[in-house]
Amino acid sequence: MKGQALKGHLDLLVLAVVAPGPLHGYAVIEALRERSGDAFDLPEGTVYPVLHRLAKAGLLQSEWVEASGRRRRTYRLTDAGRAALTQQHRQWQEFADAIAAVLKGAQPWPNPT
Amino acid sequence: MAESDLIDGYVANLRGRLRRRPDADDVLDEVRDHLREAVAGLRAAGVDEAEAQRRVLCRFGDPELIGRVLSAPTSGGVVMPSTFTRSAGAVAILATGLWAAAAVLKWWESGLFAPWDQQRYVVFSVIVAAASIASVVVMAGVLARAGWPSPTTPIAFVLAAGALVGLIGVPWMWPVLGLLLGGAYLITLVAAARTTGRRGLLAWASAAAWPAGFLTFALLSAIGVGPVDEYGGYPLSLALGFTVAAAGMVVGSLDIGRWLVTERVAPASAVPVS
Repeated sequence: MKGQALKGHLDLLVLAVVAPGPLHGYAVIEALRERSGDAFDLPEGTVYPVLHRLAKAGLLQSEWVEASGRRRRTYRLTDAGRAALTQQHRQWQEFADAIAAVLKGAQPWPNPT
Repeated sequence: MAESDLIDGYVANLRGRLRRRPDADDVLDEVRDHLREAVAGLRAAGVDEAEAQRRVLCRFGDPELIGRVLSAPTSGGVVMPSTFTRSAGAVAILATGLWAAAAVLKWWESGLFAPWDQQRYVVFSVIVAAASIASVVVMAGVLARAGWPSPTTPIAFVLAAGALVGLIGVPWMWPVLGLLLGGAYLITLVAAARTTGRRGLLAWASAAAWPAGFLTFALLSAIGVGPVDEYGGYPLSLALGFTVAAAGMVVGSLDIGRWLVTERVAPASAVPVS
């Protein structure tokens, strides 16, 4: 998916993939790619400003752990993050339902009837 | 090629680009961990070390781009609509009406159709003050929608505060003071376009309004359009210029209002996502 189309929604998507449990940056990118069926494919490094911003906003909480002999920073959803995700999930569902309803009634051009 | 050569080189390149960041060591540890785990994944799939590193670094992103996004100051907000942004959208609709009223009142107090009157000027001033305050609230709403980007947010508020103090205190100086508000809107809309991806053109009328109004006033005054008042000014030029500026604010506010107010936010009591 084009980067411009993804902008503005990346915060929501990152919150969604982190919701099930703590993840580090690489795992977030892999989850985004896997759950989107490879539709969301952006430079992997660009996920880190999003994670840092969400942490600064209090929607994610981070902690350092040891993994494979390296320092690893993992992120988990806070209560505020869960509330924000819930709100936006509902909004997207309403939007998707509305779009589907409109497209259901669309006729190809020229109208075969 | 020695193991981790490319990754070490990439991280060293990034370090040079993040030297102003106080937590650069932490960020680079995160990046290094990401790259090494990605390489481990490709090695497990049978890719040799050098090729794995090349692929991983290609997917991670050009170091100039990644260095730029990582070194940008982190804002404190999120790029999502909220109750506040939706309320700011409603204020934008209100601002539309206020600026339209101000444009009409400008002609009423201009002295073109009747001798200038202090009371008419006061009424005009009150409406301009209200419209200006509303417009600053709208600007804050757009900044909130864009995640309070830094350093745009403090700069925009400084410009807007200057415009607000001036337009409330001495609204007759709108040709100059309005440029401050226009500047605040310009950098706000640029930041919003960058972070939200919104591409609506009409909102930009808010940024163009005051320069256009100033230019209209300046040009018409320079060529001496209309009668001259007792202060040597050109009230027709002032009225036309202000109308141009107000029209821009009407168009821009309406577009921004429609954008912000239609982004619905579900109630906090909604069922949690499973």
